[in-house]
Amino acid sequence: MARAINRIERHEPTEAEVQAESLTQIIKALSDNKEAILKTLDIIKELDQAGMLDIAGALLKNRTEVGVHGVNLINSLNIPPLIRNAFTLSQMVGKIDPLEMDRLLNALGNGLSHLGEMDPAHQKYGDHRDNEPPGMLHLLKTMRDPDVRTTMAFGLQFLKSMGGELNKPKPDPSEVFSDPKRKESETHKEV
Amino acid sequence: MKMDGQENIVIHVDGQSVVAQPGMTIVQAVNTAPDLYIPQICYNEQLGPINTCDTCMVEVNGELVRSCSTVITPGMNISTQTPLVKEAQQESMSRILRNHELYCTVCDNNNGNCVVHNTTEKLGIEHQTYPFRNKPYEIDNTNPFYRYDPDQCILCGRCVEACQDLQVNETLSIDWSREQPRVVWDDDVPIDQSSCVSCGHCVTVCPCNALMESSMLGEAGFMTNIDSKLMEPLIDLTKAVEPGYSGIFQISEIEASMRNSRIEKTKTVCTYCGVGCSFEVWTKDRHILKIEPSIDAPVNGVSTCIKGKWGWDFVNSEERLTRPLIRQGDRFVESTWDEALALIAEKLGGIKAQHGSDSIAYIASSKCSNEENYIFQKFARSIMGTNNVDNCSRYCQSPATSGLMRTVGMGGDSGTMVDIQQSELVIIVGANPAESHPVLATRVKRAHKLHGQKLIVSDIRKNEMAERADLHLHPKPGSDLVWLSAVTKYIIDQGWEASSFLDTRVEGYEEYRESLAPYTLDYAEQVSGLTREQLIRTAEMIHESGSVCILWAMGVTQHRGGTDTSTAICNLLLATGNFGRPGTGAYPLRGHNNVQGACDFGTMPSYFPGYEKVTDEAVRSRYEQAWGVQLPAEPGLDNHEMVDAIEEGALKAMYLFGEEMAFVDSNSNFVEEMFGKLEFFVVQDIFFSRTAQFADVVLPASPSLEKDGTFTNTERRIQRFHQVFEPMGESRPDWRIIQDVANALGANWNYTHPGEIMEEAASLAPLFAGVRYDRLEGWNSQVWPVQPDGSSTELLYTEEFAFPSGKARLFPVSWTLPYEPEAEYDLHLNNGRLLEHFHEGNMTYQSQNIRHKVPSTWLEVSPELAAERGIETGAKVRLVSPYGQAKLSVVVTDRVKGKELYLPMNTQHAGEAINRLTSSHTDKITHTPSYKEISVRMEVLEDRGVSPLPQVNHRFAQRRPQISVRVEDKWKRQDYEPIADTIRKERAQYGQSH
Repeated sequence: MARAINRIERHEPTEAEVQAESLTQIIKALSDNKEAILKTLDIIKELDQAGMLDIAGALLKNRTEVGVHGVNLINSLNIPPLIRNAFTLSQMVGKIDPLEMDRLLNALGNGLSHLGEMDPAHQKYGDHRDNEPPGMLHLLKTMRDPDVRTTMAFGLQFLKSMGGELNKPKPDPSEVFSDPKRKESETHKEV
Repeated sequence: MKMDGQENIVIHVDGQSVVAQPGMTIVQAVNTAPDLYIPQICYNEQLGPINTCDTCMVEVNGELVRSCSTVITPGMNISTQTPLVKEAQQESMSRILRNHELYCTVCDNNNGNCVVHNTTEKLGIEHQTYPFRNKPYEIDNTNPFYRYDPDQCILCGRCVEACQDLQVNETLSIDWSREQPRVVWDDDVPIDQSSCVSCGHCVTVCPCNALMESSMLGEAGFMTNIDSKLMEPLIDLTKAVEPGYSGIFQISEIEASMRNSRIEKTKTVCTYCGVGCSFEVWTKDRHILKIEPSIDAPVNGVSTCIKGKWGWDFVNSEERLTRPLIRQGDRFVESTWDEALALIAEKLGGIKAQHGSDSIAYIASSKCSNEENYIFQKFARSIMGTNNVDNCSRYCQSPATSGLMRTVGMGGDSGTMVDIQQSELVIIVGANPAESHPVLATRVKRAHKLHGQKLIVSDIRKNEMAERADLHLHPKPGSDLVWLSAVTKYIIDQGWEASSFLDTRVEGYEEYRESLAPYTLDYAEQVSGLTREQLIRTAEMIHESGSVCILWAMGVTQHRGGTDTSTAICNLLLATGNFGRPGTGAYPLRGHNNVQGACDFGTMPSYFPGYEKVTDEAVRSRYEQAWGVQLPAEPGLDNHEMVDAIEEGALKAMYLFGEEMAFVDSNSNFVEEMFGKLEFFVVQDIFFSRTAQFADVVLPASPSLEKDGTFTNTERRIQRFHQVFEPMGESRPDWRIIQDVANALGANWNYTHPGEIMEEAASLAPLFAGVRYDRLEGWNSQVWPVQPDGSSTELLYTEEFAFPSGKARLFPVSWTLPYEPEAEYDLHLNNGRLLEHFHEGNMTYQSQNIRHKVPSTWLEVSPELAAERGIETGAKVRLVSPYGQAKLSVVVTDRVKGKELYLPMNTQHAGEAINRLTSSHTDKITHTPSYKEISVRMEVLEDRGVSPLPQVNHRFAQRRPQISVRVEDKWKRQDYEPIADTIRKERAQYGQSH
């Protein structure tokens, strides 16, 4: 014979019971990972002594405000173009054939290694020794040297190609900047 | 997509041959070839072509065409990679990205499935031609379930297509007339105040983050809950330094892959009605991020309703039962499982020993799995030695099953949703699928709106389906059998019956034809109140249609003549040859997610699993052999008889799981009184239900999201659901509890997974011979009868009916006059369901957001009656029947007429419950309570007051029907230029020829 009842005596775990349960779990996790925990504590100790934890704590607690200032700082230091230029440069360097680069740098290195023979302060101009730098005639004579002519041909070829690129029309900003907000919109299609 | 009788054709795509079916569009054909790719942002297979995004352009004969809407022709040459196509893609994507800011890494939609992100990346778009610009509209956060961000909206129109033509709620449109178009709700009202039913279609199909589930926001990503103060400058900074989209996409891809490790995606099957929608649940720990439907889901594809898409908060409710409870004096005390099980074993064992096996009864759950129902009936029969086991189909669809068994031989829907969808004429009798089976209703609404399907609705209430119907019949309550029979007679009298079908496939025609003699049009007019013209028009529409499906539910079954009316429906279909062909058949719409499966797997007093009779010697010996016991040979008590047996003193104890019997059985005052008389009562549930208040032991169970198993939907389709969460607290899956109880009573079972239970059931019940978990992986499903090789039977009776002769049986029936009330009970009280809540609401009322839309039930009163009684919406009234009373708030609406009232059953308050008013009268055959035969009188307590239904409910708003997104209006705009024209101009500018 049962009448309807809706009183339920639930056993609500006391705070002490909840705490004891949590502690058991924590102690088990600690003892299972003893080595790693001890090493981590060591690192934390050093970080604390260096004041890093205070800094990190303050940064995290104020992350939104700090973040906004950070973005402002980045903008005011003109860092976005710097990053963009870095990307562009790295893309440019990435396009160069490593073999060509190797040859060019070897040649450059070789050129540089002989610069020690030049010292205008002591009137040293390679194999030309005089109180004066070499005269025009002497320089022209030097140009007959095949090595010098090779370098000049390289330089002229470089200038020609570079000029060819510069003579192209100025690029559309959209091809440089993907951020659409930066560029002017000439048409106003809405659909 | 298979088109029988037509030869496949070959097309050439980038030089590769692709075999496709005629009638396919280019995109459909190309999508079948795994190594070919056409971008498609607005196109979705289920929605069809929308023509707005222009990303799917390909080249055919030197011209650009939209591949989504261009139908293939034999030998067609298609190029997807030419410079022209590439330029078109750049142009179309630029137009899209002008409307959509790419901040993927900090976007909650960056989960690997963002269509806009994936397409931009796949096409290698590095820069956009037109700059992004904000639109002059605010984010709409008014609807608690989802939000719309116009700034991110690419105006593809998928949401509009889904709302207008798939869900067919007709709320969304794109206003192309504005300078900057946007999606608008109704007449441009805030979402919350619109006619939106929060079904979730629009959010599911949105290809980006413009429409998002609110539960995802700030939760899905690692960096998405950064304060907007910081977020915006960060986005700008990222844009300022990024060298191109490919680089930035790599970062968002890394973030998306990181999300994989903390967002779980688990397939489940919805538990809110018999349609059987399946989808993924996305979770982060116990937080439900969202429900993600898939186009691959066999029943629903991308469709859901408000409950399935958003109604899962109950799983984490603090009100969940987490430990067993034992009655001690005037209270329940928590106990251990061992204590509870020992007590159950002692009491049930003792009562069985003292009073015999049949002194205990078992009520199973139509909300629980096939495996749980199987193991429960096995427990009742093999361990406890009784057939006293039943489930709640007794309250709803048993009469339908019974009518089908009489006429065609199988107790299930004749076909699947595909048949309902492709039928030329759908007749709905006494059902409101728009609220009770929402996703199934969408298929009818879509076919009716777009594909010329005809619709007849017979209902005493002007529900949504009735509003949409070509013909709405409003018969007098309980008179369906008469008009159905009169229409059948008229068809036969006109010589429109399917003679050759009747000759070759049906028995008993002559006798049946004679039995129709009383059902003249005159008689039907008089009894049903329908006009002669309506009856003839119905007959003509059936006659003119090549295929007819009849859908019915509780408006038919919950009457004293419920089985007979169900039989009359089958007779009509047989007489017109509407069985065994695609697009035809009888479809009783199952109410709960597993009503079908609970019956299928044997929780019925006279049937073993698979509808084999317990009285059949051969069947019984098969189970006796398998289970190693003697089994009772006599059918047991059904639900209704159980309650009577308590009164008589024959029934001493009961074990019930997942069923709110104290609330949902009719004449609940009486049922509760009977529960009080039980010597011992075990109730197993996820919540402390009203029924549990009468229990001696309450066992905490786990809902579907905390266990594995299968459900069977109204189509007879078996689908697998998977465990999402660990059971809460000490709750356990029902199958495990039933096994624990059985073992406490000496069963010694050792099932470790529901798959093992299904294996056993399949080995014993021939109907499920080929059902196996490995065949139900992913989105796979099986429709019974399942052959040993695993093959399904989608459409029944194509060759023969399920009788030994192979022929169907016309079964003469006569009309049972509905219960005649005494004169003082002058109002008819209809009852049923609400879209927003499920059953008595112990799950859906747990959702704060659903409560925001519908906080409680209400009583619908017609304007005529309201005027007569001098009441308005918000009035408080008391309804009194001979069996009890209820106090309710009124909504005045023309959905009901004259002296007919409507009361949704979905309440948690006993004082508002329909079953305080219902009687103990039942269907003559099946003992299903005649819930629909109630008359009441109404006492006005307050003549006005606050509306029980808030203004933010869709029922107050006006829909805006249109076909699709009206892309023609976009094309007519001054600033719209076809992609091909734009490219031609650009080429001319750069001196190239087209």
